[in-house]
Amino acid sequence: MVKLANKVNTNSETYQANYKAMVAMIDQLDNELKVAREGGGEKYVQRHKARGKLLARERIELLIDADSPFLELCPLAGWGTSFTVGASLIFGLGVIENTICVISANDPTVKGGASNPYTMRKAHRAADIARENRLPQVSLVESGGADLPNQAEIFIPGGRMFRDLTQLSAEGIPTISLVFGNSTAGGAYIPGMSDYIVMVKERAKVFLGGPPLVKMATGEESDDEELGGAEMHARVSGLCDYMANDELDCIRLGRQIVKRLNLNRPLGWRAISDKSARGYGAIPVIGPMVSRGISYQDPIFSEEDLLGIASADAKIPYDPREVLARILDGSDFDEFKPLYGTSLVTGWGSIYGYPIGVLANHRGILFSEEAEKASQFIQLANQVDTPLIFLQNTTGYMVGKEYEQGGIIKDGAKMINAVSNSRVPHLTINIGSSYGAGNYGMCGKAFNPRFLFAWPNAKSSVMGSAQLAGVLSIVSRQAAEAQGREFDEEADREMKALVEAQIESESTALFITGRLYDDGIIDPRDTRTVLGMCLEVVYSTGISGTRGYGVYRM
Amino acid sequence: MLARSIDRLLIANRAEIAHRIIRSASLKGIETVCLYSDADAQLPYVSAADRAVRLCGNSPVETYLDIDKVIEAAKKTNCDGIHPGYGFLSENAGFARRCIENGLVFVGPSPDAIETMGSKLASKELARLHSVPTLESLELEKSSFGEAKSFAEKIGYPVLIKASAGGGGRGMRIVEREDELKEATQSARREAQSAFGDGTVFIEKYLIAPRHIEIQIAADLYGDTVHLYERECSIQRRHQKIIEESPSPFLARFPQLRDEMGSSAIACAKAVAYSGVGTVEFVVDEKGNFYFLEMNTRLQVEHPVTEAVTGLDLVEIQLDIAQGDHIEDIVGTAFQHGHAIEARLYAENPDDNWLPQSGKLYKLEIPSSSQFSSTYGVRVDAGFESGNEVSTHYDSMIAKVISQGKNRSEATKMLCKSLRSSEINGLTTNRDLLIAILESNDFVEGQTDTGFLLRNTPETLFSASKNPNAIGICAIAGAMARQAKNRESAIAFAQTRSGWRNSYSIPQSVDFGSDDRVISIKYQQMRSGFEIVNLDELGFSSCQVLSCSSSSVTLEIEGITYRVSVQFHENGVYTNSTIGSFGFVELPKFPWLEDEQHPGSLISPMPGSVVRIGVSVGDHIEAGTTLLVLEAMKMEHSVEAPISGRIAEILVGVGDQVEASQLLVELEEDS
Repeated sequence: MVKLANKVNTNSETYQANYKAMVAMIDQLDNELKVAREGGGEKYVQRHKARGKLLARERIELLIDADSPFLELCPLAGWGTSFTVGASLIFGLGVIENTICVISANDPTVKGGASNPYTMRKAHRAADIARENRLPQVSLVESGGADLPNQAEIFIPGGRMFRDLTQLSAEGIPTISLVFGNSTAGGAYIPGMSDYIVMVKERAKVFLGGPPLVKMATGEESDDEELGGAEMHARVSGLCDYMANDELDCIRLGRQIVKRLNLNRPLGWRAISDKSARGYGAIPVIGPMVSRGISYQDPIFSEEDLLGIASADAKIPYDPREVLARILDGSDFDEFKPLYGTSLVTGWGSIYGYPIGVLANHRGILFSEEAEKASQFIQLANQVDTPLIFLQNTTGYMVGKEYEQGGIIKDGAKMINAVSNSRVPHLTINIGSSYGAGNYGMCGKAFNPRFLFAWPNAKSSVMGSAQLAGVLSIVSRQAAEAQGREFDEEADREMKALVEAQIESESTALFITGRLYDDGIIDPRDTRTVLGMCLEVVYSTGISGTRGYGVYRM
Repeated sequence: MLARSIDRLLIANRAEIAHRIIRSASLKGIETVCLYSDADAQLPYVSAADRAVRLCGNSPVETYLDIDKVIEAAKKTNCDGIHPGYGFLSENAGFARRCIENGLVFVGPSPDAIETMGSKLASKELARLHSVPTLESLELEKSSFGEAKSFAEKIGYPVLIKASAGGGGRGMRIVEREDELKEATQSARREAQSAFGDGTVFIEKYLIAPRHIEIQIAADLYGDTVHLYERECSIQRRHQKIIEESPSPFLARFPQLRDEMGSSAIACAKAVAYSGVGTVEFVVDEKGNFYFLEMNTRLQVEHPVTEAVTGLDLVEIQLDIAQGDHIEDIVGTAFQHGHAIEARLYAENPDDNWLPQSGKLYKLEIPSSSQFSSTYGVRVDAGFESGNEVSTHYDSMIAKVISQGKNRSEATKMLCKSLRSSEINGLTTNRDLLIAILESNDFVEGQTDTGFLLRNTPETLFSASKNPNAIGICAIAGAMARQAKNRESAIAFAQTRSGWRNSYSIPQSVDFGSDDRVISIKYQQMRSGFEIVNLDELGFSSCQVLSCSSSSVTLEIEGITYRVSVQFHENGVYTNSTIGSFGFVELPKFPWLEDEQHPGSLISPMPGSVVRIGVSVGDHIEAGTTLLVLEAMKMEHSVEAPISGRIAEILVGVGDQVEASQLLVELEEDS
C-alpha cells in the first residue's frame, strides 16, 4: 500500500498552459460529438419525428435502466471522411434490467439508416465486443440496408455481420433484434439471424424483396404488409416472436426478453460462461460483486487536475504516476521494479475494487531494460489472472548504434511477444503519443486490447510528423547526392511542410477515432469511470492468463 | 343501581377510542379485553389490550353492532364491565340493558336515560319542560308530506330534516327550497333506517351559521352533577366536526353564557337522572341565544379537548363513577387552564367533495409531546400506525391531534406545526385543509360558526395557505430520491455516476402524476452536480441539489434550503416537508394499451357497496342523470352520467362490493 504523492503545481505556467490547451481540445471534442448526435440533421430528424417515430437515441434511452450509465463507443466513426460522423449507427455498453449489453441502433435520419463502410466496421466492432466480453447483443433495427453507391466496399465483407450474429448465438451469447422499420433485402438477416425478434406492428418491414422487385421477378402483385409486416411474420411466417403494438411496446418487450435471459443475478455468478477458459456452466466471477461487495476508496487527488497534467506538447513527456494518483482507488499504487528501466512504470493497483496491473510510459522511450521489465510484468499478471492497463505515451524503441548492438530488437520482440500472447484482458489508453513500434509493444489496436480509448491530445503514427518529414528530406537529399544532381532546398522546405502537415493531421485523436482505430476519445476526467465500466465488463467473463513456462526473469 | 368494582373491562369498540380506553383502564390496574373484526386484526389497539376477541366478519352489523356477539365475548372472557366508547352500541339502551341483565357493569348512564335522550324529539320535549330553550320542530309521518310542507312554510326556509335516532350528521339534510323537501325527506329517512334501524325523521328551523357549543357534564350515581366547561365544535363538514376547541372563542364575547349553558346542561342531566359523563349540545345564534340540540349519553370524540384544559382524565372519571365513587372525590373543582384545540385527521379528499379514502397507510408519524402531560404540548390519539390498512367498513378517521397552549394563538401554532411535520404516506388526508383552516383569518379571529367551510371552501383556503411552489419542490426532491434509489439498487455499473454519458444527449426524466396533473422532471448529473433541465417549466430560477439519498433530499432553490423526506411504495412516491406533503404516482414509461379507458366507461370513485341502480340497459339518459348510488363509510355517493347516451352495459348489481376504479357502467355516447 503505497500512496502516491502529488507533485503537481496547479499554479505553474506549464500546468496552466496544458489546462487551457486541453479545455480547447475538449470543446472541440464536444462539438464533434454534438454533430454526431444530430445525425442526419434537423430536417431529417423532424421528418422522422413527424412520422410518430422515436429517434435512435430516444430508443436507447428508453431501453436502458433509468439513471444507469451508457458508454457510447466509436461515436465519431467516419470523422474526416465523406460520410456523416457517427456512420448512421450508434452503439455502446448499456444496462438493461441490470444486465450489461452491447446495444446498437441504426440512425434512420442518416440516409435512412443505410450502411456505409464505416457503419459496417462499427457493426463488426460491436460484435467483437459482444463476443470477447460475452455480452448479449441488442440491435434496434431500422435501416435501408447497404448504401448502394458504396456497395463495393460493403457487400463482400459485410456478410460478416450475419455470421457474427449466429456465432455469438452458438457461443451462448443471446442476440436480440427489435425491428422498428425497414430491414429489407440483406438487412433482413439482421433480425433473421437473431435469437429473439420483436417487430412493431404496421411499422416493421422485413423482406428479401419489396413489391416492385417481386413484380419484376415473378409478376406477382403484393404489398409491404403481405411481404414483410409484423402481423404477417408473427402469425404466418413465424419470423417474429413478439409483435409490438408500437415503439414503446417494442422497447418494453426488449427489456422483458433481456430480463428473462437470467443474467442479472446478483449472487456473483453468471450463466454465460467462457467455454474456452473455464468450461461450461455456472462459474464464479467477481464482476458485479466487486463494486457492490468490496469497499474501495476514491482517489485522493482530483481528476480535474488531469487536464493540466497531460502535456499539450506531445514532445514533452510527463510522469504517469500523476495520472495514476487520480484514477486508482485511494491513489494507491504498488510499483514493481521501480529502480529498473525507469522509462516505463509498472505496478499494481485497483479501480472500483477491480485489481489491475499497470504499464505506463514515463519518459517516452523504450530501452532494452524497459522492454524486458514489461515482458516480465506481463507474465506476472498472467500468472495471477489480473487484467492489464496500458497508458501509452511513447515515442517508440530507442534507436542508435549502442542500442541496436545492445539487442533492442530482441528485447522489443520479447515485449511484443508477451503482449501478443497474454490472455488477461488488456485496456489501453493513449494519454499522449503512441509512435512506432511503441504502439505495438504498448498494446495498440493491432494487439486487440478489449477496449482502447484516447485522450483528446493523443497522437498516433509511425513516428512524429517532424521526424517523418525530416527522414524523407534526408532520404531525398541522399538520392540527389547519389545521382549527382543539385538538391532543391526550396522544394525540400515545401515538401517537409506539406508532409509534416499531412502526417500531423493523420495522427490526431480525431483522425484515428474516425478510422475506428480506437473505441473513442474520452475526456481525461472520465478515465476512471470508463476504466471502471470496462473492468466490470472484462471481469464478468472470468479471467485466465497464459500458462506454460514459468515467468522468465529478465 | 348497584355499583361494583370492575376488574376486567370489555371494550365494545375499535381503533382510536378502544386504544384510548385501554390506556386509562390499564393505568387503574383494570384488565382490558378488546374486540376486533377481520379487517381490524392488525390495528394497534388489538395488541395493546390484555386480551382480544375476534368477531368474524367486517360490516358493523355483523361485528361491533352485534349485541349477542359482544355480550358473549364479555361472558367468555369473564369480564365484569363493558365500556362502549362512542358510536356503535354506545347509545343503545337495549344494549345497556342486556349488559345489566348479564351482570356486567355498563360504563355509561342508565338505559332509561339513554332511551330518553336518544330520541331527539323526546329529549327536546324534556328540555323544554325544564326551561331549557329549544327550537320548534315537528316529527314527520311517512305519509303526510303536506304536513312537512306547511310546517316548513310556517318556520321559514331553510329547514333541517334530521333523524330522530341520528348522530354524526347521518340522516340529516338541509332544505333550501320547497321542491327539495320531498327528496331530502326520503333520503334522510333511508339513511336513518340503514344507519340506525329507525327511519323516524323530524323537521326544524335551520339556523344559518350558528355556533355549535357543547357542555361536558359528569354525574355520579347519587345525583351529584357538575359541568366541565364547554367545547366549541362549529367547524364541520358534512355535519361532522373536524376542529374542536376549549374554551370557546365565542363565549369570550359572552362570558355570562358559560354559566347559563352550564346550568341548563346540568338541568338536562338531572331531568333523566343521568350518571357518567355526557355532553349537552347547543346551537347558539350570533346574538348569544342558545337552544338545546341534543344530549350525547357517552364519551365524545372530542373529549381530549376538555381533558387538556381541565387536566382531568374523562375515561378514568367514567370508570370511577361506574364503580360508585362520588363526583366531589374524583373531580373536585375543575378549572379551565390554557387553550386546547383538536383536529381530526381523516382519510378523505377535501378537493373531491370529502370523498373518504381507503387503503394502506405506509407511514404515519405525527410529532407529539409525551401523552397526558399536564403541561402544554401536543397529544395524538391515533387508531392506526404505519403499515395499517384503512378499510372501507368504518369511519375514516385516522387520528386526533390535540394541542394545548398558553392561549389560543399558541395552541393554534403548536397544532399547525405538528400537523405540518407529520408524515402520512399512502392516503389522501384532510391534513392540509386542517392547517389551512387553522391559519385562516376567520379562524384566527374566532369566526368559527358552522358556516365556516361554506364560506371558506377548500379551494379558497388552499389558495391562501398553500405555497404554490411546494409541489414543484417536492416533485424535484421525489425525482432526485428516485434516481438515488435506482442507483442504490443497481447491480450492473453500480459504481458509475448516476446517468453518466460520454456523449450527453437526452436528459433523464420521470413523470409524476398528482391528482389530474402530470409533473415531469428532467435532469442530468454533470461533473458539478445535478442539473434540473426543465427548471423554467417548473417555475424556478435556480436549484442546487445539496444532498440526495433514496430517503432524504436537500435542495437549495432560489437561495432557500428545503429538506424533503421521501418514501417509496409500489409506484407511489411520498414526499414530506415543512412546506407541504405530496404523494405522487410514478407514471409508467411503457403504458399498457389495455389500461386506457373507453370514454363512456364509468368507474367507481371509491370502494363501497352498490345501494341502488337507477337505470337499465338500453335506457337513454341525459348527462347528469344518477346512474347508481354507492355507499361507503356510511356515506352515499351518486355516480352520475358524464355524457348523454345509451346504457350499453351494467357490470354490477345491488349489494355488490366494488373496488375503487372498478368499471361500473358502460355508456354509449349519442352520436
